[in-house]
Amino acid sequence: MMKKISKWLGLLSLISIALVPIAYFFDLLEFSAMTSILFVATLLWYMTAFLWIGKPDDANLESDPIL
Amino acid sequence: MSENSAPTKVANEYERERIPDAELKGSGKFWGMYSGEHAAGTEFMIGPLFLLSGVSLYNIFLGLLVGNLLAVFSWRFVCAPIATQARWTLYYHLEKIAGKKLVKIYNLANGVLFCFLAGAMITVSATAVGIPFNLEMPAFDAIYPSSVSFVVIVLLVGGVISAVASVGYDAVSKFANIAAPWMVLVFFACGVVALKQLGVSSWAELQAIWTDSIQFAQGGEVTTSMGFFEVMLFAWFCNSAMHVGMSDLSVFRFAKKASSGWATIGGMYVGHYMAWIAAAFMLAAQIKLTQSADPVPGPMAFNVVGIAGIICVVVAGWTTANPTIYRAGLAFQAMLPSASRLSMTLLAGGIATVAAVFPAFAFKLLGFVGLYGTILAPMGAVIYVDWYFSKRVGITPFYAENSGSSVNKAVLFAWVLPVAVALYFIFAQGATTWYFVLPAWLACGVLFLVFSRARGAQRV
Repeated sequence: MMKKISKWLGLLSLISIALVPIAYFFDLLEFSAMTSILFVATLLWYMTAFLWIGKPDDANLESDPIL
Repeated sequence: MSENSAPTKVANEYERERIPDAELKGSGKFWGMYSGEHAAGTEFMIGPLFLLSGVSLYNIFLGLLVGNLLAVFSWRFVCAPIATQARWTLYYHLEKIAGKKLVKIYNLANGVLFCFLAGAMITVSATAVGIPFNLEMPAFDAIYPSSVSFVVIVLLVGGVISAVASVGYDAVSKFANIAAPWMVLVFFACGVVALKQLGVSSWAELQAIWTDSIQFAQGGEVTTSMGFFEVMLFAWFCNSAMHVGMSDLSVFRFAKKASSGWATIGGMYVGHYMAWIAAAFMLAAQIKLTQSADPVPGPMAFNVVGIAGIICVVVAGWTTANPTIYRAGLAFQAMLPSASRLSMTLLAGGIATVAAVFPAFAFKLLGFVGLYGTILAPMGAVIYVDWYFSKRVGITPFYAENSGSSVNKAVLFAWVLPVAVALYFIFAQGATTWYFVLPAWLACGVLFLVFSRARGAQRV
């Protein structure tokens, strides 16, 4: 259950990060509100993602360091 | 680590054997991997450097479009077909042709270049960490550190990254996996907000403000060192070690079909198109708002998306520097097998941290990336030619394996000669680095054929 909630919250935070700058672009949000939401969404993403995203299941697919 | 000279922590399974069919993966895995991995700390530097080089907006949009497409074609039609037929790592494949000792030398060159790349990433992270401390940031033309406090921050950041690379690679791998989708979206956010801050409502206005930004950054002039052709070449070859250089044989050997090579579209057009353009807009916005043309990632990201931007710069730099230092440490250990991995990783981290103290390495990233490709990519031509042409022209395929040679001199000279000529032009004549990747690759392939043929066909 906790994992499921985390996934939804994580998804919500990512959607926020995508939409909030667009809202700012169209003058629907103030700059300070936008940066605050981005910060909160960032915290939310990291708090929830650790609960359901593990190590890459395809570790073998990692290449040499890239640019 | 196996006795092989080219181990990687993450790819230690099937290092010296073909991938079994049960382990093959569909193209979806590759789309996810490439889309996430190419939004890295370097993107914060590369985009702004286009502006400072005076590249027109038209050339950025079109040059990157074409150059990235050529990079995708290189992965799809040069690297992936061999990877899905041979199903070996680059190092195992190269060892069969070039010999164990020569692969070690190639691996060492890789490791040294990785240290400087990691150094640039440590510099990037330090510029964000320093913001809360009102750190005096280095100017664009700075070679030496801007202040003692900058040195201290870089040493701290480099120390932490090196220590984590030495002992906690798995944790960072998990963290990088978590950060990837978030980072891509923050890059997108940076671009959208920067565009808004530029206050433009049409393409003509955007072009005008872009030209003004270049003029400001260049002290009143508008000169360019990069046109469409140069931008295209840069985008094509900035990851040349991975595609035409065949480093990603290690990745695509897991692909069911060579068509998985198309997945690199995700990396190129998210990381090397959207993110570069977003980062370039960030510098233009910074110039407009603060009249500073210094492409320092931390302040630039803070100006557009606030604290989330600072976190993004730190995370992007860290998650790029970490595996780079780890990989460089493995390369050093391959040269000194009696040394521990921990000590070699710390050595690599130490070199990277010292390099990071000098901001010139980060600010000269465009040139460094070309140098990196010029030195490493030609080895991919040896693999390509050996795979497709050896039987046709009557030379022994996999010569080192068949003859028991530890150094295939045909490969050694075919690699060293064109690279030496390129390095002469780059360092003695001041030529632009990314002009030499393709000529060196082609010359290496042709010379390998000529030298191998001169030695005579030997069916061993």
